[in-house]
Amino acid sequence: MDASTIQNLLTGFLNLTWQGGVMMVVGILLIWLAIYKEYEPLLLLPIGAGCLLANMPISMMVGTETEPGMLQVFYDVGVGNELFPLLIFIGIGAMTDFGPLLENPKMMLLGAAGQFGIFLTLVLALLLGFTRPEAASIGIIGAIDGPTSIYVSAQLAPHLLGPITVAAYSYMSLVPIIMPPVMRLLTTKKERSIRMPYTSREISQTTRIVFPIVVTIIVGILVPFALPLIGTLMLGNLMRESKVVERLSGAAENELNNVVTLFLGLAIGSTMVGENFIKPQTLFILVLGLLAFCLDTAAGVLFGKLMNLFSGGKFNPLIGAAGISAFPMAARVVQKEVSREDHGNFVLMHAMGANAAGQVASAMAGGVVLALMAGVV
Amino acid sequence: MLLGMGSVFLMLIVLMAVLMLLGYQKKTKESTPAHAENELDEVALTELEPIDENLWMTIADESGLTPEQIAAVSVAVAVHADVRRKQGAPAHRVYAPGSRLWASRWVAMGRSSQMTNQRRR
Repeated sequence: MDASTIQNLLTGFLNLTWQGGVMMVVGILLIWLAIYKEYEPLLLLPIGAGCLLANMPISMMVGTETEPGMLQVFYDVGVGNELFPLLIFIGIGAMTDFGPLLENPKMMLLGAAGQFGIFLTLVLALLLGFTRPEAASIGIIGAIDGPTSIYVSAQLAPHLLGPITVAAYSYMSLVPIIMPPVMRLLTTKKERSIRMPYTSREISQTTRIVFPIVVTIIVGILVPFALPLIGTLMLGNLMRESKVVERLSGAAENELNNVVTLFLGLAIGSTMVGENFIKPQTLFILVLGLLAFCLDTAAGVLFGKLMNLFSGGKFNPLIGAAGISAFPMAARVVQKEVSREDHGNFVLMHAMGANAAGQVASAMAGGVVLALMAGVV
Repeated sequence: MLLGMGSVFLMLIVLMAVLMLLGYQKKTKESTPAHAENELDEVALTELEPIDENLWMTIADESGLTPEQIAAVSVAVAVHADVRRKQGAPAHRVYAPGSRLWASRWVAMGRSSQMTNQRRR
Protein backbone atom coordinates (compact mmCIF):
# COMPACT_ATOMS: atom_id res chain seq x y z
CA MET A 1 0.00 0.00 0.00
CA ASP A 2 1.66 3.22 -1.11
CA ALA A 3 1.49 6.64 0.53
CA SER A 4 -1.12 8.07 -1.87
CA THR A 5 -3.53 5.23 -1.07
CA ILE A 6 -3.16 5.86 2.65
CA GLN A 7 -3.66 9.57 2.02
CA ASN A 8 -6.83 8.86 0.04
CA LEU A 9 -8.17 6.68 2.84
CA LEU A 10 -7.49 9.41 5.38
CA THR A 11 -8.71 12.32 3.21
CA GLY A 12 -11.62 13.03 5.54
CA PHE A 13 -9.46 13.33 8.65
CA LEU A 14 -6.74 15.29 6.87
CA ASN A 15 -9.17 17.91 5.57
CA LEU A 16 -11.04 18.54 8.81
CA THR A 17 -11.02 22.24 9.73
CA TRP A 18 -12.15 23.91 12.94
CA GLN A 19 -14.51 26.15 10.95
CA GLY A 20 -16.09 23.11 9.38
CA GLY A 21 -16.42 21.53 12.81
CA VAL A 22 -18.12 24.60 14.24
CA MET A 23 -20.54 24.73 11.33
CA MET A 24 -21.35 21.04 11.71
CA VAL A 25 -22.32 21.81 15.31
CA VAL A 26 -24.43 24.74 14.02
CA GLY A 27 -26.09 22.38 11.53
CA ILE A 28 -26.87 19.88 14.27
CA LEU A 29 -28.19 22.75 16.44
CA LEU A 30 -30.58 23.77 13.65
CA ILE A 31 -31.74 20.18 13.26
CA TRP A 32 -32.23 19.96 17.02
CA LEU A 33 -34.25 23.19 17.04
CA ALA A 34 -36.39 21.84 14.21
CA ILE A 35 -37.04 18.43 15.76
CA TYR A 36 -37.20 19.05 19.51
CA LYS A 37 -38.32 22.69 19.65
CA GLU A 38 -40.34 22.54 16.41
CA TYR A 39 -39.04 25.97 15.33
CA GLU A 40 -39.98 26.25 11.63
CA PRO A 41 -39.07 22.56 11.15
CA LEU A 42 -39.94 22.55 7.45
CA LEU A 43 -37.13 25.00 6.77
CA LEU A 44 -34.68 24.59 9.63
CA LEU A 45 -34.34 20.82 9.22
CA PRO A 46 -33.28 20.94 5.53
CA ILE A 47 -31.11 24.03 6.22
CA GLY A 48 -29.41 22.21 9.11
CA ALA A 49 -28.94 19.11 6.97
CA GLY A 50 -27.56 21.21 4.10
CA CYS A 51 -25.17 22.96 6.48
CA LEU A 52 -23.98 19.64 7.90
CA LEU A 53 -23.45 18.12 4.44
CA ALA A 54 -21.71 21.20 3.04
CA ASN A 55 -19.22 21.38 5.90
CA MET A 56 -18.00 17.82 5.68
CA PRO A 57 -14.32 17.61 4.65
CA ILE A 58 -14.04 18.09 0.85
CA SER A 59 -17.81 17.78 0.67
CA MET A 60 -18.81 15.84 -2.43
CA MET A 61 -22.32 17.25 -1.97
CA VAL A 62 -21.05 20.72 -2.82
CA GLY A 63 -18.48 19.50 -5.33
CA THR A 64 -16.12 21.64 -7.32
CA GLU A 65 -16.59 24.27 -10.02
CA THR A 66 -16.14 21.72 -12.78
CA GLU A 67 -18.07 18.94 -11.07
CA PRO A 68 -20.80 20.50 -8.93
CA GLY A 69 -22.43 18.31 -6.29
CA MET A 70 -26.13 18.00 -5.57
CA LEU A 71 -26.29 20.99 -3.20
CA GLN A 72 -24.48 23.24 -5.67
CA VAL A 73 -26.86 22.13 -8.42
CA PHE A 74 -29.85 23.03 -6.23
CA TYR A 75 -28.29 26.43 -5.56
CA ASP A 76 -27.61 27.12 -9.25
CA VAL A 77 -31.02 25.87 -10.37
CA GLY A 78 -33.17 27.72 -7.89
CA VAL A 79 -31.42 30.15 -5.58
CA GLY A 80 -28.83 31.78 -7.80
CA ASN A 81 -31.54 32.74 -10.29
CA GLU A 82 -34.19 33.44 -7.57
CA LEU A 83 -36.56 30.77 -8.92
CA PHE A 84 -37.31 28.88 -5.70
CA PRO A 85 -38.55 31.86 -3.62
CA LEU A 86 -40.94 32.76 -6.43
CA LEU A 87 -42.28 29.20 -6.67
CA ILE A 88 -42.85 29.27 -2.92
CA PHE A 89 -44.73 32.54 -3.32
CA ILE A 90 -47.16 30.82 -5.71
CA GLY A 91 -47.84 28.28 -2.96
CA ILE A 92 -48.22 31.00 -0.32
CA GLY A 93 -50.68 32.83 -2.58
CA ALA A 94 -52.67 29.62 -2.99
CA MET A 95 -52.80 29.21 0.79
CA THR A 96 -53.64 32.80 1.76
CA ASP A 97 -57.17 34.05 2.26
CA PHE A 98 -57.23 37.79 1.66
CA GLY A 99 -60.91 37.92 2.72
CA PRO A 100 -60.27 39.68 6.07
CA LEU A 101 -58.27 42.35 4.22
CA LEU A 102 -60.95 42.80 1.57
CA GLU A 103 -63.52 43.22 4.33
CA ASN A 104 -61.51 46.05 5.85
CA PRO A 105 -59.14 47.72 3.34
CA LYS A 106 -57.95 50.24 5.99
CA MET A 107 -55.74 47.47 7.35
CA MET A 108 -53.46 48.11 4.35
CA LEU A 109 -52.00 51.02 6.32
CA LEU A 110 -50.95 48.69 9.12
CA GLY A 111 -49.25 46.44 6.58
CA ALA A 112 -47.20 49.44 5.46
CA ALA A 113 -46.35 50.42 9.04
CA GLY A 114 -45.10 46.89 9.67
CA GLN A 115 -42.28 47.48 7.18
CA PHE A 116 -40.63 50.39 9.02
CA GLY A 117 -38.08 48.01 10.52
CA ILE A 118 -36.62 47.30 7.07
CA PHE A 119 -35.58 50.88 6.47
CA LEU A 120 -34.50 51.64 10.04
CA THR A 121 -32.30 48.54 10.07
CA LEU A 122 -30.93 49.46 6.65
CA VAL A 123 -29.76 52.79 8.07
CA LEU A 124 -28.23 51.08 11.13
CA ALA A 125 -26.39 48.57 8.93
CA LEU A 126 -24.98 51.42 6.86
CA LEU A 127 -23.75 53.06 10.07
CA LEU A 128 -22.06 49.78 11.06
CA GLY A 129 -20.02 49.86 7.86
CA PHE A 130 -21.90 47.47 5.58
CA THR A 131 -22.09 48.43 1.92
CA ARG A 132 -25.44 49.67 0.59
CA PRO A 133 -26.49 46.38 -1.09
CA GLU A 134 -25.43 44.46 2.05
CA ALA A 135 -27.32 46.87 4.30
CA ALA A 136 -30.43 46.57 2.13
CA SER A 137 -30.20 42.76 2.28
CA ILE A 138 -29.89 42.85 6.06
CA GLY A 139 -32.75 45.34 6.34
CA ILE A 140 -35.02 43.05 4.35
CA ILE A 141 -34.95 40.58 7.25
CA GLY A 142 -37.43 43.11 8.67
CA ALA A 143 -39.91 42.07 5.98
CA ILE A 144 -40.32 38.99 8.22
CA ASP A 145 -40.91 36.99 5.10
CA GLY A 146 -38.46 34.22 4.20
CA PRO A 147 -38.91 34.07 0.41
CA THR A 148 -38.71 37.89 0.13
CA SER A 149 -35.50 37.94 2.17
CA ILE A 150 -33.98 35.21 0.00
CA TYR A 151 -35.11 36.85 -3.23
CA VAL A 152 -33.72 40.28 -2.36
CA SER A 153 -30.46 39.15 -0.75
CA ALA A 154 -29.76 36.69 -3.60
CA GLN A 155 -29.78 39.68 -5.93
CA LEU A 156 -28.04 42.27 -3.77
CA ALA A 157 -25.62 40.32 -1.57
CA PRO A 158 -25.46 36.61 -2.43
CA HIS A 159 -22.48 36.12 -0.09
CA LEU A 160 -24.73 36.99 2.89
CA LEU A 161 -27.56 34.69 1.84
CA GLY A 162 -26.82 32.03 4.49
CA PRO A 163 -26.85 34.19 7.63
CA ILE A 164 -29.74 36.34 6.36
CA THR A 165 -31.95 33.32 5.65
CA VAL A 166 -31.11 31.64 8.92
CA ALA A 167 -31.82 34.89 10.80
CA ALA A 168 -35.12 35.44 8.95
CA TYR A 169 -36.48 31.95 9.52
CA SER A 170 -35.16 31.58 13.07
CA TYR A 171 -36.71 34.86 14.18
CA MET A 172 -39.92 34.08 12.33
CA SER A 173 -40.27 30.96 14.42
CA LEU A 174 -39.61 33.08 17.51
CA VAL A 175 -42.44 35.54 16.77
CA PRO A 176 -44.45 34.38 19.83
CA ILE A 177 -41.42 35.12 22.02
CA ILE A 178 -40.11 38.32 20.40
CA MET A 179 -43.34 40.24 19.82
CA PRO A 180 -45.23 40.15 23.17
CA PRO A 181 -42.65 42.10 25.27
CA VAL A 182 -42.53 44.89 22.67
CA MET A 183 -46.31 44.96 22.47
CA ARG A 184 -46.71 45.14 26.24
CA LEU A 185 -44.04 47.81 26.57
CA LEU A 186 -45.76 50.18 24.16
CA THR A 187 -49.38 49.78 25.23
CA THR A 188 -51.37 50.24 28.41
CA LYS A 189 -53.68 47.62 29.88
CA LYS A 190 -56.63 49.80 28.91
CA GLU A 191 -55.50 49.96 25.28
CA ARG A 192 -54.97 46.21 25.11
CA SER A 193 -58.50 45.65 26.41
CA ILE A 194 -60.24 47.72 23.75
CA ARG A 195 -62.98 45.67 22.16
CA MET A 196 -63.59 45.98 18.46
CA PRO A 197 -66.89 44.71 17.13
CA TYR A 198 -66.58 42.55 14.05
CA THR A 199 -69.29 42.12 11.50
CA SER A 200 -68.50 39.68 8.77
CA ARG A 201 -69.12 41.20 5.35
CA GLU A 202 -69.57 38.73 2.57
CA ILE A 203 -66.98 39.24 -0.14
CA SER A 204 -68.28 38.31 -3.55
CA GLN A 205 -66.48 35.80 -5.74
CA THR A 206 -65.94 38.55 -8.33
CA THR A 207 -64.16 40.79 -5.83
CA ARG A 208 -61.94 37.91 -4.74
CA ILE A 209 -60.99 37.22 -8.36
CA VAL A 210 -60.54 40.89 -9.28
CA PHE A 211 -58.29 41.58 -6.25
CA PRO A 212 -55.20 39.58 -7.35
CA ILE A 213 -55.49 40.87 -10.93
CA VAL A 214 -55.80 44.51 -9.85
CA VAL A 215 -52.95 44.25 -7.34
CA THR A 216 -50.68 42.68 -9.97
CA ILE A 217 -51.44 45.40 -12.50
CA ILE A 218 -51.05 48.30 -10.04
CA VAL A 219 -47.83 47.00 -8.50
CA GLY A 220 -46.48 45.96 -11.88
CA ILE A 221 -46.87 49.52 -13.12
CA LEU A 222 -45.82 51.35 -9.93
CA VAL A 223 -42.86 49.18 -8.90
CA PRO A 224 -41.83 46.75 -11.65
CA PHE A 225 -39.13 45.37 -9.32
CA ALA A 226 -41.81 43.99 -7.02
CA LEU A 227 -43.65 42.27 -9.86
CA PRO A 228 -41.94 38.84 -9.56
CA LEU A 229 -42.87 38.65 -5.87
CA ILE A 230 -46.37 40.14 -6.08
CA GLY A 231 -47.10 38.54 -9.45
CA THR A 232 -46.40 35.01 -8.20
CA LEU A 233 -48.20 35.62 -4.88
CA MET A 234 -51.25 36.87 -6.72
CA LEU A 235 -51.09 34.10 -9.31
CA GLY A 236 -51.37 31.55 -6.51
CA ASN A 237 -54.26 33.51 -4.99
CA LEU A 238 -56.05 33.81 -8.33
CA MET A 239 -55.84 30.04 -8.78
CA ARG A 240 -57.30 29.59 -5.31
CA GLU A 241 -60.15 32.08 -5.68
CA SER A 242 -61.11 31.19 -9.25
CA LYS A 243 -62.13 27.72 -7.97
CA VAL A 244 -61.74 26.29 -11.48
CA VAL A 245 -58.19 24.97 -11.14
CA GLU A 246 -58.36 23.22 -7.80
CA ARG A 247 -55.80 20.66 -8.96
CA LEU A 248 -53.31 23.40 -9.72
CA SER A 249 -53.90 25.36 -6.52
CA GLY A 250 -53.76 22.11 -4.55
CA ALA A 251 -50.47 21.17 -6.22
CA ALA A 252 -49.06 24.66 -5.62
CA GLU A 253 -49.82 24.66 -1.91
CA ASN A 254 -48.83 21.04 -1.30
CA GLU A 255 -46.56 19.21 -3.73
CA LEU A 256 -44.80 22.19 -5.29
CA ASN A 257 -44.33 23.99 -1.99
CA ASN A 258 -43.05 20.88 -0.24
CA VAL A 259 -40.55 19.95 -2.93
CA VAL A 260 -39.27 23.50 -3.39
CA THR A 261 -39.01 24.00 0.38
CA LEU A 262 -36.78 20.93 0.62
CA PHE A 263 -34.55 22.04 -2.27
CA LEU A 264 -34.43 25.62 -1.02
CA GLY A 265 -33.54 24.59 2.52
CA LEU A 266 -30.73 22.32 1.36
CA ALA A 267 -29.37 24.96 -1.03
CA ILE A 268 -29.44 27.66 1.66
CA GLY A 269 -27.78 25.32 4.15
CA SER A 270 -25.02 24.65 1.63
CA THR A 271 -24.13 28.37 1.61
CA MET A 272 -23.25 28.17 5.31
CA VAL A 273 -19.68 27.03 4.71
CA GLY A 274 -17.40 27.66 7.71
CA GLU A 275 -14.81 29.87 6.00
CA ASN A 276 -17.53 32.28 4.78
CA PHE A 277 -19.92 32.05 7.73
CA ILE A 278 -17.73 32.39 10.80
CA LYS A 279 -17.14 36.12 10.67
CA PRO A 280 -18.01 39.03 12.99
CA GLN A 281 -20.43 40.33 10.36
CA THR A 282 -22.59 37.19 10.78
CA LEU A 283 -23.09 38.16 14.40
CA PHE A 284 -23.99 41.70 13.35
CA ILE A 285 -26.52 40.31 10.86
CA LEU A 286 -28.16 38.17 13.54
CA VAL A 287 -28.36 41.12 15.95
CA LEU A 288 -29.63 43.53 13.28
CA GLY A 289 -32.21 40.98 12.16
CA LEU A 290 -33.55 40.75 15.69
CA LEU A 291 -33.62 44.53 15.89
CA ALA A 292 -35.53 44.71 12.61
CA PHE A 293 -38.17 42.37 14.06
CA CYS A 294 -38.56 44.47 17.19
CA LEU A 295 -38.69 47.73 15.21
CA ASP A 296 -41.37 46.34 12.90
CA THR A 297 -43.51 45.31 15.85
CA ALA A 298 -42.96 48.64 17.58
CA ALA A 299 -43.78 50.64 14.43
CA GLY A 300 -46.94 48.57 13.91
CA VAL A 301 -48.13 49.11 17.48
CA LEU A 302 -47.34 52.84 17.34
CA PHE A 303 -49.26 53.16 14.10
CA GLY A 304 -52.09 51.25 15.77
CA LYS A 305 -52.02 53.85 18.54
CA LEU A 306 -52.29 56.55 15.91
CA MET A 307 -55.33 54.83 14.41
CA ASN A 308 -56.74 54.53 17.92
CA LEU A 309 -56.35 58.28 18.32
CA PHE A 310 -58.12 59.04 15.06
CA SER A 311 -60.91 56.55 15.72
CA GLY A 312 -61.68 58.12 19.09
CA GLY A 313 -60.35 55.24 21.18
CA LYS A 314 -62.16 52.47 19.31
CA PHE A 315 -59.14 50.80 17.72
CA ASN A 316 -57.05 48.25 19.61
CA PRO A 317 -53.40 49.28 18.95
CA LEU A 318 -52.15 45.70 19.31
CA ILE A 319 -53.66 44.93 15.91
CA GLY A 320 -50.93 47.11 14.44
CA ALA A 321 -48.37 44.49 15.47
CA ALA A 322 -50.07 42.01 13.12
CA GLY A 323 -49.06 44.23 10.19
CA ILE A 324 -45.81 42.30 9.89
CA SER A 325 -45.73 39.51 7.38
CA ALA A 326 -45.37 36.40 9.57
CA PHE A 327 -48.70 34.95 8.43
CA PRO A 328 -50.78 33.86 10.34
CA MET A 329 -48.62 33.57 13.44
CA ALA A 330 -48.49 37.32 14.10
CA ALA A 331 -52.29 37.54 14.13
CA ARG A 332 -52.47 34.62 16.55
CA VAL A 333 -49.95 36.28 18.87
CA VAL A 334 -52.02 39.49 18.84
CA GLN A 335 -55.17 37.55 19.73
CA LYS A 336 -53.30 35.76 22.52
CA GLU A 337 -52.09 39.04 23.98
CA VAL A 338 -55.57 40.55 23.81
CA SER A 339 -57.09 37.44 25.42
CA ARG A 340 -54.53 37.72 28.20
CA GLU A 341 -56.16 40.98 29.29
CA ASP A 342 -59.75 40.12 28.44
CA HIS A 343 -60.90 36.56 27.76
CA GLY A 344 -64.00 37.61 25.88
CA ASN A 345 -62.24 39.99 23.50
CA PHE A 346 -61.88 38.67 19.95
CA VAL A 347 -59.82 40.70 17.53
CA LEU A 348 -58.50 37.80 15.48
CA MET A 349 -60.30 38.70 12.25
CA HIS A 350 -59.10 42.31 12.40
CA ALA A 351 -55.59 41.05 13.08
CA MET A 352 -55.83 38.61 10.16
CA GLY A 353 -56.73 41.54 7.90
CA ALA A 354 -53.63 43.44 9.02
CA ASN A 355 -51.55 40.29 8.68
CA ALA A 356 -52.72 39.68 5.10
CA ALA A 357 -51.87 43.32 4.34
CA GLY A 358 -48.42 42.69 5.79
CA GLN A 359 -47.98 39.81 3.37
CA VAL A 360 -48.64 42.10 0.39
CA ALA A 361 -46.68 44.98 1.92
CA SER A 362 -43.56 42.89 2.56
CA ALA A 363 -43.39 41.81 -1.07
CA MET A 364 -43.87 45.44 -2.12
CA ALA A 365 -41.19 46.60 0.29
CA GLY A 366 -38.84 44.01 -1.22
CA GLY A 367 -39.52 45.49 -4.64
CA VAL A 368 -39.00 49.03 -3.37
CA VAL A 369 -35.65 48.05 -1.82
CA LEU A 370 -34.58 46.48 -5.12
CA ALA A 371 -35.71 49.58 -7.01
CA LEU A 372 -33.76 51.85 -4.67
CA MET A 373 -30.64 49.72 -4.99
CA ALA A 374 -30.95 49.19 -8.74
CA GLY A 375 -28.46 51.94 -9.50
CA VAL A 376 -25.98 50.73 -6.87
CA VAL A 377 -25.61 47.07 -7.81
CA MET B 1 -35.38 55.69 4.29
CA LEU B 2 -38.08 58.29 3.82
CA LEU B 3 -38.19 57.54 0.11
CA GLY B 4 -38.51 53.80 0.71
CA MET B 5 -41.13 54.01 3.42
CA GLY B 6 -42.96 56.75 1.51
CA SER B 7 -43.12 54.55 -1.60
CA VAL B 8 -44.46 51.59 0.38
CA PHE B 9 -47.09 53.74 2.06
CA LEU B 10 -48.08 55.44 -1.18
CA MET B 11 -48.56 52.17 -3.03
CA LEU B 12 -50.56 50.62 -0.23
CA ILE B 13 -52.74 53.72 0.01
CA VAL B 14 -53.44 53.41 -3.73
CA LEU B 15 -54.32 49.74 -3.22
CA MET B 16 -56.52 50.61 -0.25
CA ALA B 17 -58.36 53.18 -2.37
CA VAL B 18 -58.88 50.60 -5.12
CA LEU B 19 -60.18 48.03 -2.65
CA MET B 20 -62.53 50.58 -1.11
CA LEU B 21 -63.76 51.48 -4.58
CA LEU B 22 -64.41 47.80 -5.30
CA GLY B 23 -66.34 47.50 -2.05
CA TYR B 24 -68.27 50.73 -2.73
CA GLN B 25 -69.31 49.59 -6.20
CA LYS B 26 -70.51 46.29 -4.81
CA LYS B 27 -72.52 48.07 -2.13
CA THR B 28 -74.22 50.37 -4.63
CA LYS B 29 -75.03 47.41 -6.87
CA GLU B 30 -76.52 45.52 -3.95
CA SER B 31 -78.46 48.46 -2.55
CA THR B 32 -80.44 49.20 -5.73
CA PRO B 33 -82.39 45.90 -5.99
CA ALA B 34 -82.55 45.67 -2.21
CA HIS B 35 -84.55 48.91 -2.08
CA ALA B 36 -87.00 47.57 -4.61
CA GLU B 37 -87.39 44.34 -2.63
CA ASN B 38 -87.95 46.28 0.58
CA GLU B 39 -90.69 48.31 -1.04
CA LEU B 40 -92.36 45.12 -2.25
CA ASP B 41 -92.04 43.59 1.23
CA GLU B 42 -93.67 46.62 2.78
CA VAL B 43 -96.61 46.37 0.36
CA ALA B 44 -96.92 42.63 1.00
CA LEU B 45 -96.76 43.06 4.78
CA THR B 46 -99.62 45.52 4.79
CA GLU B 47 -101.75 43.02 2.86
CA LEU B 48 -100.92 40.03 5.09
CA GLU B 49 -102.61 39.30 8.40
CA PRO B 50 -100.92 40.76 11.53
CA ILE B 51 -97.96 38.79 12.92
CA ASP B 52 -98.37 36.95 16.23
CA GLU B 53 -95.77 38.55 18.53
CA ASN B 54 -95.58 35.42 20.72
CA LEU B 55 -94.11 33.45 17.84
CA TRP B 56 -90.32 33.66 17.94
CA MET B 57 -89.79 31.50 14.89
CA THR B 58 -91.89 30.65 11.89
CA ILE B 59 -91.31 27.40 10.04
CA ALA B 60 -92.67 27.60 6.54
CA ASP B 61 -93.91 24.26 5.26
CA GLU B 62 -95.95 23.45 2.20
CA SER B 63 -97.53 20.33 3.75
CA GLY B 64 -99.49 22.47 6.16
CA LEU B 65 -98.00 20.91 9.30
CA THR B 66 -97.76 23.11 12.39
CA PRO B 67 -94.32 23.92 13.84
CA GLU B 68 -95.07 21.59 16.81
CA GLN B 69 -95.84 18.70 14.47
CA ILE B 70 -92.65 19.30 12.46
CA ALA B 71 -90.61 19.37 15.70
CA ALA B 72 -92.20 16.09 16.86
CA VAL B 73 -91.48 14.41 13.50
CA SER B 74 -87.84 15.64 13.63
CA VAL B 75 -87.32 14.20 17.13
CA ALA B 76 -88.95 10.91 16.14
CA VAL B 77 -86.72 10.60 13.05
CA ALA B 78 -83.57 11.29 15.11
CA VAL B 79 -84.50 8.74 17.79
CA HIS B 80 -85.43 6.14 15.18
CA ALA B 81 -82.07 6.59 13.40
CA ASP B 82 -80.25 6.15 16.72
CA VAL B 83 -82.17 2.95 17.58
CA ARG B 84 -81.58 1.47 14.12
CA ARG B 85 -77.88 2.21 14.37
CA LYS B 86 -77.61 0.44 17.72
CA GLN B 87 -79.59 -2.53 16.39
CA GLY B 88 -77.31 -2.76 13.38
CA ALA B 89 -74.15 -2.93 15.48
CA PRO B 90 -72.38 -6.28 16.12
CA ALA B 91 -73.09 -7.87 19.52
CA HIS B 92 -69.49 -7.91 20.72
CA ARG B 93 -68.53 -4.33 20.04
CA VAL B 94 -65.94 -2.88 22.40
CA TYR B 95 -67.64 0.50 22.62
CA ALA B 96 -71.26 1.54 22.36
CA PRO B 97 -72.02 2.61 18.80
CA GLY B 98 -71.83 6.36 18.43
CA SER B 99 -69.92 6.79 21.68
CA ARG B 100 -66.70 7.80 19.87
CA LEU B 101 -64.75 6.35 22.79
CA TRP B 102 -62.35 4.90 20.23
CA ALA B 103 -61.42 8.45 19.29
CA SER B 104 -60.01 9.33 22.70
CA ARG B 105 -56.23 9.27 22.62
CA TRP B 106 -56.11 8.69 26.38
CA VAL B 107 -58.31 5.61 26.11
CA ALA B 108 -56.19 4.43 23.19
CA MET B 109 -53.01 4.94 25.19
CA GLY B 110 -54.47 3.06 28.17
CA ARG B 111 -55.49 0.17 25.98
CA SER B 112 -52.16 -0.01 24.21
CA SER B 113 -50.29 -0.02 27.53
CA GLN B 114 -52.55 -2.86 28.74
CA MET B 115 -51.78 -4.83 25.61
CA THR B 116 -48.01 -4.32 25.87
CA ASN B 117 -46.02 -6.75 27.93
CA GLN B 118 -43.86 -4.62 30.21
CA ARG B 119 -42.17 -7.52 32.01
CA ARG B 120 -38.60 -8.25 30.97
CA ARG B 121 -37.86 -11.77 29.87
